[in-house]
Amino acid sequence: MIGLTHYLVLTGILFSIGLVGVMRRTNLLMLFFSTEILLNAVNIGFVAVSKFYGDLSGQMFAFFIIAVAASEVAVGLGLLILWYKRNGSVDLNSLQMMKG
Amino acid sequence: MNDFLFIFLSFFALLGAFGMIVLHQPVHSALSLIVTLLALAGLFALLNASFLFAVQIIVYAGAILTLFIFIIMFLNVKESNLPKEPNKTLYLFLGGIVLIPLNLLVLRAFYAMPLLREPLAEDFGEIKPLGAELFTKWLLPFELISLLLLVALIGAVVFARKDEV
Amino acid sequence: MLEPISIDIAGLNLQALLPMAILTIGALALICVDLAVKGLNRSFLTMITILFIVLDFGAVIGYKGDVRGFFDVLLIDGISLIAQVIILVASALFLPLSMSHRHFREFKMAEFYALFMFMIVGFQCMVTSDNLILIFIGLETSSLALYTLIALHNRAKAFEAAIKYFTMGALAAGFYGMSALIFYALTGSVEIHQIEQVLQERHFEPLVGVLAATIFMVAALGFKLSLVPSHTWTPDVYEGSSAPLAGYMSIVPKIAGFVVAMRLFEMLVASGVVWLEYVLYAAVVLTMTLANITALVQEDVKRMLAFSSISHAGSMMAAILIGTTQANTALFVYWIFFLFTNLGAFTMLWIVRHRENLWDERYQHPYTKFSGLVKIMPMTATIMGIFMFALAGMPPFSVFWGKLYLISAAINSDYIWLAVVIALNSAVAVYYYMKLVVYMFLHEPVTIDARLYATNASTSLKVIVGFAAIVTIFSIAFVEPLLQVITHYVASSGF
Repeated sequence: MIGLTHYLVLTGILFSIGLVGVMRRTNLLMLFFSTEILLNAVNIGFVAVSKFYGDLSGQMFAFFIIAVAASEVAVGLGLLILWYKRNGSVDLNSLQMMKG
Repeated sequence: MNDFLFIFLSFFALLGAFGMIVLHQPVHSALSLIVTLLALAGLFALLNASFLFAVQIIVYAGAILTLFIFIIMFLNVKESNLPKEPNKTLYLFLGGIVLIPLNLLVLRAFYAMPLLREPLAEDFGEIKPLGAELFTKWLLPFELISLLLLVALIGAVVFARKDEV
Repeated sequence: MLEPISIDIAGLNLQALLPMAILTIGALALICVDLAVKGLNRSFLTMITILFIVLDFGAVIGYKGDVRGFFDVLLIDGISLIAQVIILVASALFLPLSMSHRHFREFKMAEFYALFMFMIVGFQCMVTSDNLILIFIGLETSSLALYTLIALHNRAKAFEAAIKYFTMGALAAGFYGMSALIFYALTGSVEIHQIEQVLQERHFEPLVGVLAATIFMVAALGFKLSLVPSHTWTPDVYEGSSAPLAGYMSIVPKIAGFVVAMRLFEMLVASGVVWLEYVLYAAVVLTMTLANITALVQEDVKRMLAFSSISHAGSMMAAILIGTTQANTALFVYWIFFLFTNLGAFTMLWIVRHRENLWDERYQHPYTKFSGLVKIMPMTATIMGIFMFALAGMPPFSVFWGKLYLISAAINSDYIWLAVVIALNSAVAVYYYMKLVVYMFLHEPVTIDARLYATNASTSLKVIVGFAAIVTIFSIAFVEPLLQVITHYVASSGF
């Protein structure tokens, strides 16, 4: 019998995968992808809790998180393109001008 | 049947997420992420969230990921210019090991949840009650989301504009 | 099939929306006007924005409505009013810095001012809400506008600062979502007052769950408030953005984050869940101490000010940790005085900004730049010295009163060690503030050309600096009435 716990376990594992991706990949595009995984993990958790409690607020929150993720991607990719045009690289290590 | 679907879909979700962080080429990672998003959409449908199922496919997989792939192809980073990630698999493995305590904490928190099983309404998650709630109780956040999208739009347009002398 | 839904308009309390609606209409009007008329003047845009901010301020001050609004999503209690006043005053004071002597491309764009107003709307939504969803939307709106504003400066360092800030903010959004998820799963509600009620009824039963949720929330707010360990990229963000925006970032996002932290953490800390108290205690002490120690070895004044802002924000988190009415009042009073002092310090940096890095190849404002400034431009050096003394917490300047009140609040609540740590850190901080004063007053000047130091000065900048200096020097007159007003508001909202 699949219960709430199984969905939340899926949330936890997806969240950890996203977190590993954010911390370890040096490609800026991969960084943005990993934040998408984080938000999706939270989404599936919200919808699962919403079903098992009979309350629609969870689905609402998931809907708003999707909208926020869309805007974040737009601005983030805009910044990335500006950086790439300036520096020709999407490497996290190229953000080194102000180290320390 | 539901259980089998859940296991099948979550397996693909995890596989896609895992592939996304491991693969080297951005396009492969994007395609892997699409697998995850579609699997998650299926899970939404399983959880009586029919509107979110449609929104996830149309907005997330259809718009956001398309934008990502478009940008990847526009940037056209050559294979040799991609950042070299030496020992990537080793680092990812180590990162996974380091995160296991955090994961266990979160999972333990989830196992100890108090579960209220209330009987669900007949049309729970249908578009009509969802719309009724969205446009009454959550009207202000809904309008603010439109403001948020406007801010993102202005930001994107301003970045892309050519400098007028 | 379609039944009409009846909503009671009077029960909606639309007056609560008026402040944010004014700014939104202003921003939209500005964009539409920019479509029609080309080449709007910089002063016109600044003045229109300040006009709308003043109207918004009037709406906030004159608010006499219900505490709850709009289907209970808005919560306009005392601390929300004070925080909105601080945000609006800070915005109105930081905006004239755009009218500098040198012309920057971003200040001629109407989109800059529209995004600025949208950002203020986002911050206002963050502080006037009790609902985790609305706080999230306000947080993201203001953050996205802020990333764009930083990147509009169009230098390579600004792009780098914007990308670093964006990555931190995206991670913060993920952690916030996770924390909200756990709170929702534990209590079945996304409203903070209901979360508190249910948690207290159950005596914080699944303790691991409550802890996990709180730690994620501390991590999320920690990115915004630059608590350790999320403070690593903050000085880079300050260094890369323009001085007015860096000064703005050190004041306004922090106060919005503090109000959210106040709403969420005070109940949790007061409930006696000891782990949370220890976690916050450790975060506070580490933030103050590490930021101070790193500021000691900085060679650039802007980075030093960034670390000092992190340290001040750490002491504010101590006020939230203490949690009494006196401590919360101390937080707001301290932040008001800190606002004027930081405004002055960053405006001085903006005035002496030069287009090329004449003194050091990487830093724009190294200490050596200010050597012997008293012989070249005595007025500038004196005013900068006053701001440094004020930031160091010397009596009778502004920040001293805030610190005094905070330490007395700590001692009154038996947090003796915390008071000792705050006092020690203030003593350590004196060193790096005095370092700049020593360079200005006791070293030999590097160059005798006074014009190099005033390339960016203009009347409006000088007026702002003068105003900040006057408030800093005569702050002793404001302390008593300010304390009374703020204590009344804080107590009336139950904090």
